[in-house]
Amino acid sequence: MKPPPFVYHAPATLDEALETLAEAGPEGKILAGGQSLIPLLNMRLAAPAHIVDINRVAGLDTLRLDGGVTAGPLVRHSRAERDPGVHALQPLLRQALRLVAHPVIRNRGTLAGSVAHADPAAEIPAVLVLLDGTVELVRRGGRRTVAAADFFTGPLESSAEPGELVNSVFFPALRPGTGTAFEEIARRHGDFALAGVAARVTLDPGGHVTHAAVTCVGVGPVPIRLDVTEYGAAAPAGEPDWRHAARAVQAAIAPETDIHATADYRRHLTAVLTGRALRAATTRARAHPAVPPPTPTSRRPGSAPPAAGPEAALLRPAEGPPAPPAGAGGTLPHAEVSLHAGSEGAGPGAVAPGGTGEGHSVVVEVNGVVRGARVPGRRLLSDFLRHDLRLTGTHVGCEHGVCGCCTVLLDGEPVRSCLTLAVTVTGRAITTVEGLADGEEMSPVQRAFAECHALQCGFCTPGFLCTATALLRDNPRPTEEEVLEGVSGNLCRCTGYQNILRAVRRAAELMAGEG
Amino acid sequence: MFGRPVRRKEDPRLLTGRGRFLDDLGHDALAAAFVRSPHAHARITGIDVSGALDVDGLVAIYTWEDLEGPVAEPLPLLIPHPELTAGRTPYALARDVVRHVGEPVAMVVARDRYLAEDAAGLVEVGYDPLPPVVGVENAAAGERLVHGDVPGNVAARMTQENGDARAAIEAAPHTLAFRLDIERSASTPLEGRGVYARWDADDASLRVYSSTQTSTSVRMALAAKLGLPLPKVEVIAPDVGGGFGVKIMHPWPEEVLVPWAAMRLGREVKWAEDRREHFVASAHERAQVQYVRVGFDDAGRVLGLDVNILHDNGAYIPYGLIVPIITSTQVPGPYKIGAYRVEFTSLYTNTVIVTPYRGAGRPQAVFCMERTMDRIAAHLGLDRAEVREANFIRPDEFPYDQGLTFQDGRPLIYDSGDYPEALRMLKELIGWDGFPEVKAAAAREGRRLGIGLGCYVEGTGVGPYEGGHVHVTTDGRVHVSTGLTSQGQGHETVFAQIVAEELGVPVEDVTVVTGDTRRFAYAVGTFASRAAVMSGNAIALAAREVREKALRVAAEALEADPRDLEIAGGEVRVAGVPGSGVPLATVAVLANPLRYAFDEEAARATQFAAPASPDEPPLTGEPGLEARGYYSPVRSTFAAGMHAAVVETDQDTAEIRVLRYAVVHDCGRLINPMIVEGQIHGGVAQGVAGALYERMAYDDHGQLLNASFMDFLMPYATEIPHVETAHLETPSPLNPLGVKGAGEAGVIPVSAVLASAIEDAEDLPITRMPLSPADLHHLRHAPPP
Repeated sequence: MKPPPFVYHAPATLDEALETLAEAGPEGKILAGGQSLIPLLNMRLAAPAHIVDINRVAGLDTLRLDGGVTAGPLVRHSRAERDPGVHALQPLLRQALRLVAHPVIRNRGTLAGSVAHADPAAEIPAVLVLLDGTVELVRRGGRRTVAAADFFTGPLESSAEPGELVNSVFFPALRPGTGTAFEEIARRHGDFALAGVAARVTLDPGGHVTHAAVTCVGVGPVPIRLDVTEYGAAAPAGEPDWRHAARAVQAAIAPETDIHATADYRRHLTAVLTGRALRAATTRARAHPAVPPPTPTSRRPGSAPPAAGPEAALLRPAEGPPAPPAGAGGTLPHAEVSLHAGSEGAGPGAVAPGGTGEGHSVVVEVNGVVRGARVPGRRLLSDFLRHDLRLTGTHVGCEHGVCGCCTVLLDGEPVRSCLTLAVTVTGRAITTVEGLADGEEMSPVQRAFAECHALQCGFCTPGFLCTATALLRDNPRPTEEEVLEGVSGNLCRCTGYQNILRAVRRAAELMAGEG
Repeated sequence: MFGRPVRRKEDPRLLTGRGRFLDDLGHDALAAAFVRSPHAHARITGIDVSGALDVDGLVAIYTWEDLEGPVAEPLPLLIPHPELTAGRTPYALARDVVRHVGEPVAMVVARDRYLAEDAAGLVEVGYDPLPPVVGVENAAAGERLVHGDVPGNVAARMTQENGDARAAIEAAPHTLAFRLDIERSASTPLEGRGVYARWDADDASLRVYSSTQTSTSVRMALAAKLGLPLPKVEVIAPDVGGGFGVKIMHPWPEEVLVPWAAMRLGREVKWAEDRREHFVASAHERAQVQYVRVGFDDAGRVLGLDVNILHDNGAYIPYGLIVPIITSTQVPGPYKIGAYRVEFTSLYTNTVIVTPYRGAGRPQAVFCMERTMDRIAAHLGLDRAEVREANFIRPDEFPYDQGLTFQDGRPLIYDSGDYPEALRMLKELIGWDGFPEVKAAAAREGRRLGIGLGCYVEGTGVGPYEGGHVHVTTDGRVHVSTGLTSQGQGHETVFAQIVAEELGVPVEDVTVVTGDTRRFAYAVGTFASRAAVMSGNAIALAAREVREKALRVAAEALEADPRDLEIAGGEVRVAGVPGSGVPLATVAVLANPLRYAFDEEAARATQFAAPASPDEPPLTGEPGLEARGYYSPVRSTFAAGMHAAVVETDQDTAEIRVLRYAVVHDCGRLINPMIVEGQIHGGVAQGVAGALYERMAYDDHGQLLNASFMDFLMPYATEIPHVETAHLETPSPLNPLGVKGAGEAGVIPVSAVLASAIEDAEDLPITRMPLSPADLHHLRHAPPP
């Protein structure tokens, strides 16, 4: 499971990126977080001739809080999730982001990438649709803004044209008297939802429902938005009964059966989740202060000051008309991830695929030592560490980002090295399991794992150690739930996890004792 | 040392990235990749490699046509059985016909794995699709055939009977009949399979590293397949990233082809299986349909039990009938069944082969028996625990003969156990008697709770034998080796504990090597919860022999009677008198009479140094303070356990959550309780996975729809309950250490336990596993039968 050959481009500016994209044509794919694209490459389900890696384009990681949340193409899920300003302005984002895969995936995945990927089971597109957000697309010589409702056109299909890049996604701010919620059911924590519902409810000062809408995920070709104001408005103040809304939503969707759930079950779940989400959103609407959120700020040094105050947020376009129910299901063609497309030809900085003698110089600081090698553009960071640098402590268990064995720290943040191209991270610092100990002295996390018998075969262990090390650095006194969430993206087949959870808590004790 | 939670000797290297797993070796080796069948059943019409020849770095492409001699013949039928009359095994590379998606058709060797995959993708294979057989009932219908020369797809049909079960059922006051279903799952270790071969042309010798559960047998298989003298083949199992059964199967096609290509090319060749390959080209287990008839009395005592099993063995049956034999013989569990008849039919399907996965047929057996116990209880309105109690073999009835023949060809005679005590402990641990109030209280809050239990007996420590070598070197350190392999069980630690106990040395001074045929060439392998029983006892016997020798040699040096000596603190001394003796290191020196001294210690053993009787030969027996020991049991030892769980089912979403999970476990004497508990935790997790999450979703065309970790739902920490454990120790009278196996225990009854608990919560009959929320939802809304 290795990526097929492609020409790798690493533009330094947006213009250069757009130029390359335009020339790459339908054979070009943009690499930002890569958490959806690289699994498809590794499984050889996608074989683009050109990969345009935008990770080195300056200025694409701008997160602007200005009447809403505007995220540039390199704003990672984890950053938006943690940012208190984002949460104050639009709490639905954090509510949804906590359901997006696992924390380690969120460290790389981007909001814009989620939108561009247009997976109908994904949370962020549903949020964007529910909030009447917009998508700004840029291409060589032009830009346009598309309403969320018009952006998603089918499973993994969007209205992005060849050569276009999602330059930003805009999530309007929460209005006073409004509450939101995201409820979903997944088979495993972090999996794509069998069904999910994002809800938004607005109450007037008397407690009457003035607006209510839901967006359903996993039950149609695109996120399905439905206005349910009428069901809430009919109820007396403070006591909206959402059962009718749930039934109406259930009747309006046409999900499909797959190996995880039947269409009937998904319909049933969507009704249950609609009720839960609307009730939770109603409760929050009551609690949401009519005073505006904190003063918006730019989250990136040097970016322009906010153009408008909180009032501007209130003046964002009001609710649009409710989207019609999704069409009658049916089998829609599963397009490959066509993020963007354009025409023919190799762009600037192009390097031919595959072979010897050619390739990219990758220089990284690994465990405090600068190391380098010349590798093809498609070399995965996991293989680069293991086979080029011969640091075999990092293991490979699935090569599609699910198992977590290959987790390393990239500038301190845990990431999947099997979902990262080595060339993407040139110039950055990596810590692998070999770098956790202080000489011969094992780290507290390592010692706690030995003490608690938290490993058996030891194959998944390096990934757990790296993940736990970052977790405890950021949160030295985690609760049991925080420990569980923290390691929830790593598979272990031997231990049943019980002793791993104990070991992480024990490591916190050891670190506190030393501190 | 014995019985203490000694920390693992394996851990420092595994925690610091210094473990050595298969793909950590051979950085300069060529890489292999395989062209695999995309069809479940097809005739190969042609293979065109021309498109792949331009790939830079390509070294070779092989198809069946290129194979010769024994390599071109079908792979061995590993475990022949008289009833296995239609045993079929695959070729290393498909010849003419492919019979499951993933079957290897061509082998590509290239400079690295990226290039090998590029080339493999460019090999064009022509297929003429044939109708596939998917599902055991379709196989039994026999309308389509997996193998044209195997009528009805029947590999084997086998019956065992103790008493006249059908007559007993007819005569019984109560009878029930029902059907049970269990779907496929798989071992799924996080490290896939892998093989790395180094051919030394000058020496005409082959060294192979394989991520295997049996390096000694891989070695013998390779010598036979490749036509090499056995002494010219070495096989080493390096650190292995989990096995759970799938790596006991051997020799895999890849395991033969990689060394074969290395010899042919004169280059090192390596293949590290990727995750997708592991799903479609290794092995699965579990799928069975069971038809049960039972007759019982008013107390719930089983008077007659008749079980008919359809067993799905996949496209080929290289591992023989082991899994269905285990299912059929472990159904009776801890119970005295009045009369028992079991028949199984092992059927071919166009799916991945079936070989043992942790539990190896036992989870299905326990599902059958325990679902039966719950049915009886429900029918009679009795407490489920009481019905089990009424059927238990009593502690004074051991050895207990079940009147059947077990998987090792030996009589199924239980050695020891105390089932009533285990049940008493379990009921106390889970709060069985108080649960009705808990359930009622939850119901008042609108929550739906249920409790369930399950009991099992597990034949462990099957023969034929294992061996161990214990060697005290002249530095006083103790080197131990055994032929079977390790995949995370902590053998380096528990075997060191055994030796430390027997020799009276610190456990830190003992190092253990497993699975390296250079160190120990006679072994069977690691499976069937047998390592502690088999190698543990063999090593103990070897250590005892070393001890005798040390006492004898030291007695000469001390001019004492060996019977007055002991070994303690690394010294052979007069019993109870510290400082009176000689260090074990010196005894090791003296045990090897020398002519040449190379250091001061060695000088003590030279011919002019030691006082020796001029009329006796300098050496008695063998030189060196070392010994080999072998342990070969007359039959298996039988561990047992009982599990209980409390589940909550969501009234709205049908989600199933395990709130509590309790285990009472009896594996005889515990060598290291920390490690035994770890084994149980992991086993229960795999059991929960198999009951609620994992299955192999084949469609009607034989395509595996969930061949990835995205869709094969191996649970994360968020899905696995906390496990509460209690131990009961009834030592085995069969072996010197009194131990029984523990490796598989955790997984065995989980499906039965959770079915019992969900049934209790939902008041719906649960007859199939795994059970997803969608399944439960549809059961709730199914029209009444």
